[in-house]
Amino acid sequence: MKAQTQVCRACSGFVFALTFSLILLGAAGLQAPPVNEDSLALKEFADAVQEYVRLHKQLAGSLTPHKQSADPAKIMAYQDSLARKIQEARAGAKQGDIFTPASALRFRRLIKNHFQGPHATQSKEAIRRGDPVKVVLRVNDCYPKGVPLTTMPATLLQNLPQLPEEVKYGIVNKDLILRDTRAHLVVDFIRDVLP
Amino acid sequence: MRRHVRDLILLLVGIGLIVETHYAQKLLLPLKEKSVRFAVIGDSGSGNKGQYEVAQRMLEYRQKFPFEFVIMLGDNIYGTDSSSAYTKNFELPYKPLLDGGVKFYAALGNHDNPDQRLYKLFNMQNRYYTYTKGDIRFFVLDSRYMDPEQLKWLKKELQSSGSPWKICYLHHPLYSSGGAHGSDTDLRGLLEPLFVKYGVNVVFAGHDHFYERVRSQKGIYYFISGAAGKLRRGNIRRTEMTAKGFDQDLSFMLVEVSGDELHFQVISRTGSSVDVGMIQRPVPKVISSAPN
Repeated sequence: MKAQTQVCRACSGFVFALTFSLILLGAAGLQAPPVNEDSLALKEFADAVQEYVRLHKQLAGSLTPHKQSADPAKIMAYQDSLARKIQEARAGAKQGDIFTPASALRFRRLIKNHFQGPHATQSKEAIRRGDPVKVVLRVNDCYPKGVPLTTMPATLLQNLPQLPEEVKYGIVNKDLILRDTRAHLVVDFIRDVLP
Repeated sequence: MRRHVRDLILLLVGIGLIVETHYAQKLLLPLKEKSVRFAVIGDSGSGNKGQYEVAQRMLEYRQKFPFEFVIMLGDNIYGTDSSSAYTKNFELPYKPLLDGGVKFYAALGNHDNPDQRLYKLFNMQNRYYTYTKGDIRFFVLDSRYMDPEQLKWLKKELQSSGSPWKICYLHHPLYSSGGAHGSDTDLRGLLEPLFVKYGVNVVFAGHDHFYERVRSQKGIYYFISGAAGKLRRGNIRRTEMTAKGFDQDLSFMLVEVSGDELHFQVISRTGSSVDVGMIQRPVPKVISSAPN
């Protein structure tokens, strides 16, 4: 009888342990998959870009449509008006608003990997041959008129997140910049990211 | 007496110049019936005296070789983006050509405001675009920013083009013997496989401020014509790939395409012929999909 009771106790202990383990396993199974911080950082960047593009489109919509013209003055006037509107709307904009700290870290890693990879030499040469420029940058400032746009190494562009037509990457000094292609504004930048 | 001597010298120099110009400005293109004729200028938009002189030579040659359009290889307007820069660096020097109905098709260079795509007289549909003239399909690329989207577009357009001639033009040269800039090997790694695969015949580029004809690379002919407004004198570092180079003066090209032949002539600021030649289009490969 005593032996029977001990067996029963042992069995119930085993069943309890098994049940507890199953509950734990179940709970673990219900948890979210492991977080990929890189993906989150790039999503953060993509969301910030989308938000900027929404603002750009909204402000552009309030202007006379941007059409082809034989009069360069009209093209310039549109560009200046759009730039002014965006500058006003983003009066408090600062570095890191789009290239958030997490996404900037990811960009630094992407670019570092690129310049340690098989295209490093050609990409460095592409920048050198693309007339590198040295300009003091400030977020929400106009890209200086008459200053050439340094060529973005084509192979590097294949490794960076793609962008909508309203914004493009650029290189100034050793910084990666995000430039509004229609308003010619410096939207944001990451300092000293290029070799 | 001294005045007479001076006048006589001036007269002789004048006659000499006229005679030289007359003989130098000889058209060496075949002028075949129904051929496609165009001019090529790169890095033209300096607004300086040299650009105006080249424009004047273009006008003179157009009397003998009535080209219909001009392709621009980028750096179309140097300096600050102002309305007056468009006037001084483009509209005024080429006014007689524009008035004569000549159309300009521009590619963007690193000195160009991307908004030039909205300038009607540059006939750009976008920062990269394509158009057809007779048997030629032109692919105009934005070499400053070759993102995956543009590459995808180029592949699609090349694939679907049935034109006998495929000509690409862009600002940055894939092959160049320029000491200051030289070949963009980064870009070449991405574009050349497409050019080879889809049968591009000829590529024109600027950026280096001289004229160079490169020996055929993987069956493709590369030209640099980046001296229509700026010159980097003595900048060519001749290598085995240099078929012909001219870095002593400004220049432009005239091109005539007829059937399977592309004829070209390069003319300097003074009107003399710098290079001339013909490219024969290879017989297209017939790929049979029929089962054996």
